[in-house]
Amino acid sequence: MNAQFKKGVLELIVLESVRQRDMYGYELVEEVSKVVNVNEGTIYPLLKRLTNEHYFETYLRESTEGPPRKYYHVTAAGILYRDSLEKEWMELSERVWKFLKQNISDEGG
Amino acid sequence: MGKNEFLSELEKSLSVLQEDELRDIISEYEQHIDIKVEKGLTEEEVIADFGSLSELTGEILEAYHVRVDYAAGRGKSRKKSSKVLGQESSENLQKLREMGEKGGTTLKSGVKGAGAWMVRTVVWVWRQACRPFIWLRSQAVFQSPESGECGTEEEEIIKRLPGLEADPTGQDTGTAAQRGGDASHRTREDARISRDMQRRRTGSMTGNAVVIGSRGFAGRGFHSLCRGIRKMIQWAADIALWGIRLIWNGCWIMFSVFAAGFGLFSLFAMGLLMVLLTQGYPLAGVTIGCAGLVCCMFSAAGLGMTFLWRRRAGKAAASKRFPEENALNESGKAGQESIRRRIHRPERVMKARRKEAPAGPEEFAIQQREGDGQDA
Repeated sequence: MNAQFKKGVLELIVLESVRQRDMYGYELVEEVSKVVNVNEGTIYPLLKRLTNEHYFETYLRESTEGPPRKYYHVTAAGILYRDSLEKEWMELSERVWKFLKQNISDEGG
Repeated sequence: MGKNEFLSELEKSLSVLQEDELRDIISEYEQHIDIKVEKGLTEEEVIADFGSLSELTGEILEAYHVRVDYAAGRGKSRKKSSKVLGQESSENLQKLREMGEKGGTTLKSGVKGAGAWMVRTVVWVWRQACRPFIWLRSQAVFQSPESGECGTEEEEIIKRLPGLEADPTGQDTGTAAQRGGDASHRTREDARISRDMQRRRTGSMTGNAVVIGSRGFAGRGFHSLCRGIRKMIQWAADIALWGIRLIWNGCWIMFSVFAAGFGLFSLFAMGLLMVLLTQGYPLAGVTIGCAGLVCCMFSAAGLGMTFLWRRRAGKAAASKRFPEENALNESGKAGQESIRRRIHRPERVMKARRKEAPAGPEEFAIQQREGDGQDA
């Protein structure tokens, strides 16, 4: 997939993933990788940015497999932001889809 | 590249960040590598999945809103030893201090000189402006409250000075001699004359003498011209005062209207926010802020209205000066009449004084004769 496409939609995927349930960094990377093939290193800066912008809040939870893990939890502001991103994505995809469909039908006709 | 090498390189390239932020992001990558290694991958494979270090650094710095080229530049500048940096900063400080001292001295002397020059100029202009008025005053003719005689100010003063009376007929001297019989009266009279002279020397025109004209045709002309100019100045001052009051009141009214309007708008916004708040949106802080804004705006509007310049100030001052008349005369017209009577009081007082003034030589002789007759 195009890197710019992925970059644009990555925020929405991360927000939606954390909205479903609280996750720690590696878990989230795994979750996002199921949807889009993304460089693993780029998720952490994104998480950091969303935390700095108060869309996420973090807390530590003890782990049986090693040191305590930092979990991410989406805030109310994060939910609002996620809703606005979803709306934008739907509008954009719909317009692009209509445009492509129209061109395809013109060529067919 | 192993885990430790990768982390140290990453730490170095992110040195622009704060210490706790740096620790936080490094620990995230460390944990990620550890988990991947536990799952069977080698450190090199995991690090290779991160991509190039420069790109990764760029993305992390972008998340912190830091320019990558600035971070690189800062990294270079960090290579300078702290000793050199300290020396440079102390030199710069010294230079700044010297510049400040020089600038301060120059500024101080400049301000001092300019202030003295301005004071001298204002004094010179004031003196030049006062000159025509001083000359006109020297030409004015005063009426004495005691004798009712007319003369210039200097003549009046000379006449009233006990040691300088120089009437060729000797009548005034005789009167003075008769007055001299009453030592206390003479002392009071001398004190009053000295006081008048002092007042006139200092420029205050509040003596009992009344200006009734000026000497000669030119004097009268200048006197009427002076009166006309004074009226014009008064008229212009009234107009200017009216204009200033209009502008002042207009500004404050506009301010109050704007504040009240904004307060109403804030009130509307607050209502809207309260509705959204009840629907579960996290807007409690904004709503409270909006409530505060409403209070502030209405308070500002009220405050602005208190700054209005009202005409009632003069009437209030008059009622404060004559409280007994104001209390007795409930109607406004009666109060104003009372004030007018008070203002014209000096003339009535002068007439009363003239009546009470010691008698002339002839009246004194008649009184003497009447007194002798009664004694006999």
